[in-house]
Amino acid sequence: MNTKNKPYPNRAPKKYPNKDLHGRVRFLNLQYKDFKRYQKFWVDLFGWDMFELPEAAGGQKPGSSAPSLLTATGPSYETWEGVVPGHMNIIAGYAGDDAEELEISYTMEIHMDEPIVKTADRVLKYGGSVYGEIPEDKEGWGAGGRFAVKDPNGNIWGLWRCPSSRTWDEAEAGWDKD
Amino acid sequence: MKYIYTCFKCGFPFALEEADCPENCPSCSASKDQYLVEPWNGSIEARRIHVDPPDPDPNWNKYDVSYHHPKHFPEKTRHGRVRRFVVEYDDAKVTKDFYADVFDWDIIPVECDQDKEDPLMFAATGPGSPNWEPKFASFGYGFLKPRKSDDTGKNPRFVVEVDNIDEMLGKVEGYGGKVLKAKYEVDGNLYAVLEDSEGNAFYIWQTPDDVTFDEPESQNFYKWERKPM
Repeated sequence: MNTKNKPYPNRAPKKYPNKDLHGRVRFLNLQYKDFKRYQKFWVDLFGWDMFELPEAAGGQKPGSSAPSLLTATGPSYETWEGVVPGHMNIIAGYAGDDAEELEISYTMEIHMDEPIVKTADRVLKYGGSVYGEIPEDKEGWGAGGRFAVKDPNGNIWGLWRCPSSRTWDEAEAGWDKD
Repeated sequence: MKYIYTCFKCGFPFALEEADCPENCPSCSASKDQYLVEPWNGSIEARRIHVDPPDPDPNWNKYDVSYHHPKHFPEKTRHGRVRRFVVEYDDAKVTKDFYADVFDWDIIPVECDQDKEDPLMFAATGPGSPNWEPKFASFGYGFLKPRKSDDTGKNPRFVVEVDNIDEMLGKVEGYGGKVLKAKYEVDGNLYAVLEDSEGNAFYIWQTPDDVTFDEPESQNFYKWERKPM
């Protein structure tokens, strides 16, 4: 990785459109088999901080022995979104009693102003596939704006359309003004 | 009727029809009686109720996962930060076209692979600085990596930055993890491949000696102006 404050390798990244987070990779998604063991590994060795995801946001009942976890891997706000650029936070969940292989995936934002099926169509056109079901398209924090795909190499991506309640004051919603 | 609800516990605002209002805050799990309510006025940006968020608690038990402000991460270290995603590929063109055309990424080969048929490629997924670091918080850049270059066969999918690789290699087995690949160098950077206690494979990358901690991505600010630049 380049750490020097100079163009890499010969140009800066392209300009991205205003008020559009399509394609931004927002969270790493991990799975665990044993919550306490997983927590000790990452908290003790890497300094991560974890919070139990609310049931209303896809988590378990408070105090579950197999919680879904939002994790700060670096400086983060009370919303558990990053404060400074350059690191990703994590959503982790229990893999299930019968899991043999764990799935590592990411949550990527998609257009807020398009039906989710339009993104699914483009994924298929370029050699990817839909992984699981495409839900009934519905505004809000629930399943209606989420589905998963695979790229042409089999890598899994969770796609997420943010509800329209985004205020655009959020630090994570920044965009180039020039 | 539609309302704007602002959670008194965590400060999170959200707008919903009254019938769809959840019993617990979608951000922190606080019960519904913690919501402050105002009528929908056409835009959540124009809401009049704002709640100050909680501050980090320096005495918080690091294993307690109930709602709290994330801890205050220390200065002048990036140890533990997930810095990059990794996508293994079989066909460079197919993969580059997929991500560039479906998700609008910007993709270039890394410096040392400019002329290779199957290069290691760097992927920008949103606005960035000239040194190809993301310009805003809470999203990541990544690598597209030829699958044949992964000699662990475990498809490690993320890069965690660490202060010192040698120290980590000595500790990881004591926590139920494994060393999948010992320390190695790529283009002047030091990496190793580990597996966590659950079987997740990942890279560790040692903070290079030329990092000054003045870089935006090295900071640990907590009171940044929230409005986007």
